[in-house]
Amino acid sequence: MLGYIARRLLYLVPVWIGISILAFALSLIAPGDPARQVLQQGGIDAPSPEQVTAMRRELGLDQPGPVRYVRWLSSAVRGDLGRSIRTGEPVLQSLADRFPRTAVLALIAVTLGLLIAIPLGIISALFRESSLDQLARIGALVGASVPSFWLAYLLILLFAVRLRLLPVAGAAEPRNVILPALTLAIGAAASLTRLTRSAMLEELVQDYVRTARAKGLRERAVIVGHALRNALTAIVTVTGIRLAALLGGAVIVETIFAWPGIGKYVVDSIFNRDYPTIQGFVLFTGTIVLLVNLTVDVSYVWLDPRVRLGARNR
Amino acid sequence: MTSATKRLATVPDADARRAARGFWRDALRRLRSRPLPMAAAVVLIILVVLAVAGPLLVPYSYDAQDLLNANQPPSAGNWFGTDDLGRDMWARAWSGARISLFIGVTAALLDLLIGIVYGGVAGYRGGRADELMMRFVDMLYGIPYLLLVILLTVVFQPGLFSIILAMIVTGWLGSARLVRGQILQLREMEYIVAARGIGVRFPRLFARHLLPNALGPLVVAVTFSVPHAIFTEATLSFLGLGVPAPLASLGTMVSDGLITMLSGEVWRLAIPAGLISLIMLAFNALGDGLRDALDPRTLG
Repeated sequence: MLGYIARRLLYLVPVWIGISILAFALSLIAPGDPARQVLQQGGIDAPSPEQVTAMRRELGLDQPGPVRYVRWLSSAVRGDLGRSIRTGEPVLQSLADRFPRTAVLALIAVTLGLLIAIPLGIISALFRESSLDQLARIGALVGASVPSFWLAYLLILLFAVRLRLLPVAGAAEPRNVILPALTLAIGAAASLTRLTRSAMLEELVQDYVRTARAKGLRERAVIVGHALRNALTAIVTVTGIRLAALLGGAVIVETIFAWPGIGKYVVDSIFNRDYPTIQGFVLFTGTIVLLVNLTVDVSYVWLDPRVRLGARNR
Repeated sequence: MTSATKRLATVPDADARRAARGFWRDALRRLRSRPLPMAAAVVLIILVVLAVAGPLLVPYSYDAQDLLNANQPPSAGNWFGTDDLGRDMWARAWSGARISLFIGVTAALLDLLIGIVYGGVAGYRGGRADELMMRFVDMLYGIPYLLLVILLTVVFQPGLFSIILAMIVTGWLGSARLVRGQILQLREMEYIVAARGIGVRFPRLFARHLLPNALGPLVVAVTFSVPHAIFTEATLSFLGLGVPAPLASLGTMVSDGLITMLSGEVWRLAIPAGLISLIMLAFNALGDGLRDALDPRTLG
């Protein structure tokens, strides 16, 4: 098992290096001269060519690309992602300050989504083609089809404007998290319900389910202990993808609800062409995505003994 | 090649074609028997017809301003009302739907095309080439999709084709993975080995034997990726990166309409947002139906 995890880790290294190259390359394809930008940000509207040249040297921009990449990466692994052109603050600090907000939102949304999706998906699969199943399927279909900005609007209209139960936007109080989390959770629940249903349907017709029933296991144990356990691999995979995407910042929802997470922050940075921040962000979220994927891969060891055995045999 | 092997070479082709035709006919029959996907297909056809012909039904152009008639609710004269510049919302909504559908379908098809070539080569070659190619895909997967699209749109400057381009830069990853998986499965099948054995070359093998048999899941994937692309475009518009004025997609209309959220001209938001939802719903329902129809196992 340790061998399996080690192999997964080793596999991630080239992928991570690739992501770092891509993150760095963004500054090469981007138009505009960062040296000029820094000078203008510092109050010099029309910098002279000498000033620009000096700034380029100071920022190391006169070096060839690969040299700049190695420099950038080596400070990045030491926790220095440079400074934001827009705010002048260290990039890593700005991202780390905002990430917890995004993480809280993402975790609540995914947890809520799973709490809805798994029971609903199982019931839907068990009572297939019943009116309950039809209702759940149509509900999930609608939930997966409604764009998040429209859903957010409807929720605000209902809970904040009509019922006046919850605040419209901001992050001043803990209950501010409810509406954005609900918006994201509904989308997650819809797609996870569909997935749970189809994964369960696939498992319920397998021979081992018939065997489990035949040997007199209680239905509950058959469903939860056997069928669900096997369906879980697919559910965990998709949940991981969903979670990773949300941890990268739910741009729309964070913007609508003025939730100060990294998604909103990086969009502001993109509009200001704040490349050090964008680069740092891509590296940061790329790393998170890889870590989530690793966690998912490791969970297979526990979920599916074949992975463990397969690893030993190979 | 002797005449005997020539005949042998044509037989599997003919069989494959006949089997494929039967497969699609069965799928169509199964699809027809289900009310929801059929309703979705009808809705989609109506939506497409209206997106093409809708603006022609009214005497207004989508960009003709009439400030005296700004913010009028839906009426006999303006079926969907007017916006803050007095432009007819019916004409705008359907020409917007046309742009949204065009972006969605074009992006989805280009994604598929790239995915077929990339995933096909990776899956068929296998081994080290496959390993390398798929690791590159994993790398690109590490970058959040939406943020890369936003970034590229900023760099390219918003426009109809730059939006599509930004979307397909990483949009093809999913279909590449899908195609590769399919090809990996298929290439060990006896009929493929047999076809290779009698000397069928890769392009023909791919086009005649591999692709038709992998087509089912791909059709389903495209059905799901059209609404995804439409949604991504709406998101870009929402951030102010949509098609430039006076062009309007449904997404730009939603983002224009958002300011009416509290002022009460609900139709300006509800109509484009409702249309986007309807388009996405129809594609998703159709995709569900197609998946069930093409993979009878899920029907049990």
